[in-house]
Amino acid sequence: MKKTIGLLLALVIVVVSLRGDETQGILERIDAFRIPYSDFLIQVRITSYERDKVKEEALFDSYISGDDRSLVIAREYKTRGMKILYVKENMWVHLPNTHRPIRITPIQRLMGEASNGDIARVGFGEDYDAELIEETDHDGVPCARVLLKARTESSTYARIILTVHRRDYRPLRAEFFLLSGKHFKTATYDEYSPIAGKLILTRMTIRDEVRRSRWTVLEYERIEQKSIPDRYFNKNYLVHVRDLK
Amino acid sequence: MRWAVLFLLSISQCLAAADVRMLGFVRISGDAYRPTLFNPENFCTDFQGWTEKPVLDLRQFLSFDFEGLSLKWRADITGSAEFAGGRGGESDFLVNQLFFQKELTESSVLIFGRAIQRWGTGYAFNPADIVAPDKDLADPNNTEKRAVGNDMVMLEYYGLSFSLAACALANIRIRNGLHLRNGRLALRFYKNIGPVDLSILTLFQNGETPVWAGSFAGVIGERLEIHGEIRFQKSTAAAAPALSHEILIGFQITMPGDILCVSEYIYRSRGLSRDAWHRALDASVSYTGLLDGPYAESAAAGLLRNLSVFSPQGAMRHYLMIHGSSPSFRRLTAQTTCLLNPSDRSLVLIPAMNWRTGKSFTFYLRSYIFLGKAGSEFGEFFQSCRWEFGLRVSL
Repeated sequence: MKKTIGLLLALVIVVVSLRGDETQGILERIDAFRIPYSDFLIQVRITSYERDKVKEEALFDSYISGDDRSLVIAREYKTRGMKILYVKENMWVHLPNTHRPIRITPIQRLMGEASNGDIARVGFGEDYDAELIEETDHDGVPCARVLLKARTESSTYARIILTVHRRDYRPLRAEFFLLSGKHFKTATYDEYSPIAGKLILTRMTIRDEVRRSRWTVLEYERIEQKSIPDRYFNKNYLVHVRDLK
Repeated sequence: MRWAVLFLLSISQCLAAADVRMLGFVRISGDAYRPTLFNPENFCTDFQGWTEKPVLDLRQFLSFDFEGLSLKWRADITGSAEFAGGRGGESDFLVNQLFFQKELTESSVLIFGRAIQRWGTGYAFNPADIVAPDKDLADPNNTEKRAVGNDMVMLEYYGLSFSLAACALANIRIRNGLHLRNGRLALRFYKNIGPVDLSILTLFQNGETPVWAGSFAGVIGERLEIHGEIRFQKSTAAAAPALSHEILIGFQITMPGDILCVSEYIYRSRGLSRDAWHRALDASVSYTGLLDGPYAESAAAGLLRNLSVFSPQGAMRHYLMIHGSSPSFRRLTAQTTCLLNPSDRSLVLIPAMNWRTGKSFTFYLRSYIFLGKAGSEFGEFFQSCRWEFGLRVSL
């Protein structure tokens, strides 16, 4: 009897761990469409629209290092030279002509419908746990719906429902939810281009679910392998960071 | 001085290496006054429109960043000129920062020269900011005027989630030789622990007991940031309490609709209690009563300055600051700041609206409304309200 219980327990542990590996594998496959290198630079052009008219336009350089660090510098923006630092669950902003960085919350809007976290974070693997919820069709394409649950409350969104291509887990659409359960924004992943031998996301659109006439387009204009020294990811060094070329 | 400003204005556009920013303001304003101790002339009026003549205020900010001799150099220079209707122009020229920076190793940086450092986590108040340059208390409304840095040598080491800074400060005067005055040594240890930033700070200065301070800031959930600062100093004066302290606690929250709200409360053990404030007012009534005309006016201005009324330093023991701002709607933004003295329930309310047109032009309407009973801090202020309407041009 004891042997049988032991065997059953071992079987449950194996199944659970396989399930964990499987869900973690889903996130890795999803993130592979957004992370071409371990350390890299993405130049993001953000255009925000309201009723078909361009409301605002900006260009940001985003230096990504590993899964949990990024430094964003505004190149063309109303506050040109603004820097946002994202390390693990922490986020700080340094505005030009000020002398210290301040902490910000992930939900604060950077521009248009894009939150700080949308620009500073490219992967989901570090912040969310994945669960496959159903298999479905999206515009005639066989898809899977994956539920991403935030590991910490300081993640940009509490919950995300991601629609991915069933064959390769390429993200097609994401619905973002707040802690209150409110459906906040929806993103569509519009364009993928070959970079470093992989298909990488190069254009996405974020729509506001409350103010439906507003949307923001993020275009990834330049993606290249680049690493910067560790001190650039220390909050107190932000005031010394100048234009990185 | 005016020539220096004009020279700066004329050469700046030619300097490709410099980050050049120019600000211009055209504004008109109007005030309402009330009879108080700070208004000995008793020129008491209700708001009667835009009574002040238009003012044109130009400011040129130059930031030079360049590398040479394996050092990074930085200079921030401000030139300003103000022209008011009926009066001549006034100009000013400031070297805000002039320092060089050397990366000694991959993780350590040395700064030498005149530099602005700001430590601490508060927005309206910073008791832990032991290296902050002095603010111009005579002109608290002038938010665009940048501070002049301290002369310093600073070494900072950056680890993965911590940093250590040592900063030697002095006031350097070069007149009949090199003179160093008011030498100080400030140290800061910063550590990021999970979602929280923690700093421990200390300041050693000649002839005074050391100052010890700490600050924190952290994020809870997706919308809320909290921060705080504390500062202690052992008192050497016999009549004063053995330990003076200041405590700040505050938060920032992003509310639905992207309305941002910031609030801070500060307690200062050295600040005036309600009774001490009334005693100071009574003493001043006796003093200004002996004076007449312009002397009384200057005595009232002196009292304002001595009590630091309506300044970032503040006079009283407690203050509560609340600030709210709305996101842009059709290029229109609205914000309100309220500074409340909880001891006597007087307050100053600063509502403002901005309308941005084009990339460089912003029209603004701002008011300062002083509310409180007679004898209270803001109720005793000589103005009851001030309105400003202007155009801000940023190039």
